[in-house]
Amino acid sequence: MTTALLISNVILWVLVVALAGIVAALIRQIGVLYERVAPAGALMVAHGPAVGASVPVLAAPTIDGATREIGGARADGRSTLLFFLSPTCPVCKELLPALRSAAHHERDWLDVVLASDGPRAEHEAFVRTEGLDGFTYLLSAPLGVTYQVAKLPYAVLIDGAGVLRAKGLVNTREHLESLFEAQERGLASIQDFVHRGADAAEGGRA
Amino acid sequence: MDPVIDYTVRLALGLLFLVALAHKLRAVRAFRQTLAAYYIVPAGLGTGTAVAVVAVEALVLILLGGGDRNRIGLAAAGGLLLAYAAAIAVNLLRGRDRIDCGCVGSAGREGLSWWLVGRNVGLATIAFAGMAPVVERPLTAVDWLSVIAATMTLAGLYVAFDGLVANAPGYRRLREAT
Repeated sequence: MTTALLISNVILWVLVVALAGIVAALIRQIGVLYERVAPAGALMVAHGPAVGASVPVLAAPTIDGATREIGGARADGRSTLLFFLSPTCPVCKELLPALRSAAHHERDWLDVVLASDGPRAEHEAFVRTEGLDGFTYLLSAPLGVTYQVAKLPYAVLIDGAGVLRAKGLVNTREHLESLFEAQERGLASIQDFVHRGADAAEGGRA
Repeated sequence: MDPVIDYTVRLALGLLFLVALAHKLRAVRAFRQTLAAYYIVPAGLGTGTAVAVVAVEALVLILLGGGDRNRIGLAAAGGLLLAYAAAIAVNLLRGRDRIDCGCVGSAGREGLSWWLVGRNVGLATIAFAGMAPVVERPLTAVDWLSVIAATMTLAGLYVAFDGLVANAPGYRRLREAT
């Protein structure tokens, strides 16, 4: 009996010490995470129409020959997400599932419009292989020039009144969602967000 | 009080002061600057106070390790911990919460907080509670196991609490951000 208690005591102490060590190590790891994890968002590039400004009205041809007007107030008040992509951009392809789910989840207020330019045949093949028939697909060089799209994939969010709400380089699903978040919160970009957060923290400390 | 508790308290506090002393001696100049930033003693007495603090910590360490029934060590340790708590509290009340705590561990490196005051008061309470009279009994190997393992656990918990305090600003930033 005494031996049994003794052994159980030894085992318990070993486990308790080990657990205390693990707790300490975990807390340290969490500390590293707090330091490293900054909120992810679409990086805004300081070109093209400014956030909060009305975008120019532009008639762009779609891949199937119709014309779609981008910009200006819309009668139905729906917002437009212009997603600039290219058949040769691998990150764009990776983002397509995220884009599809975003288009589905935000369908109450948002139209997702794909935009690109270049030879029509390439894009038609791209639409077929990636199954993009459900989206409006614009082929317009002036569109990319207007929004000064330098890097892909790039997204621009325009609200129902034709005002630019958010824009930026989107490399992940989080970046894409950050644009909707930006629209909801009235923030222009991740930089704007971090900046305001830093100001708030400074204010709290003072 | 059982001698196992007595030994555990003195060993754990001794370990804490040993680390604190090593921390100060390893970077004497940094410790003097830390002390100066507290604005507790006049600038002219900075070096003298630094030497005195180190000497008192060494004395506490020796007293804790010394004679089995020596209660002075525990009283001195508790007093020193309370003095540190008071120094932190004074600076918190002055609004000078951006200075280095100079504490053992990573908490307080970014600034002072009431958690650090609470921790020191808690440790001082343990030291004073350890002054209760000890009931003699022969110690066995199991008792030594208890003493050593409990001390190791307390050290681990100290590091864990220290980490939580150190993480608090980062956690607050993230929580406010989302």
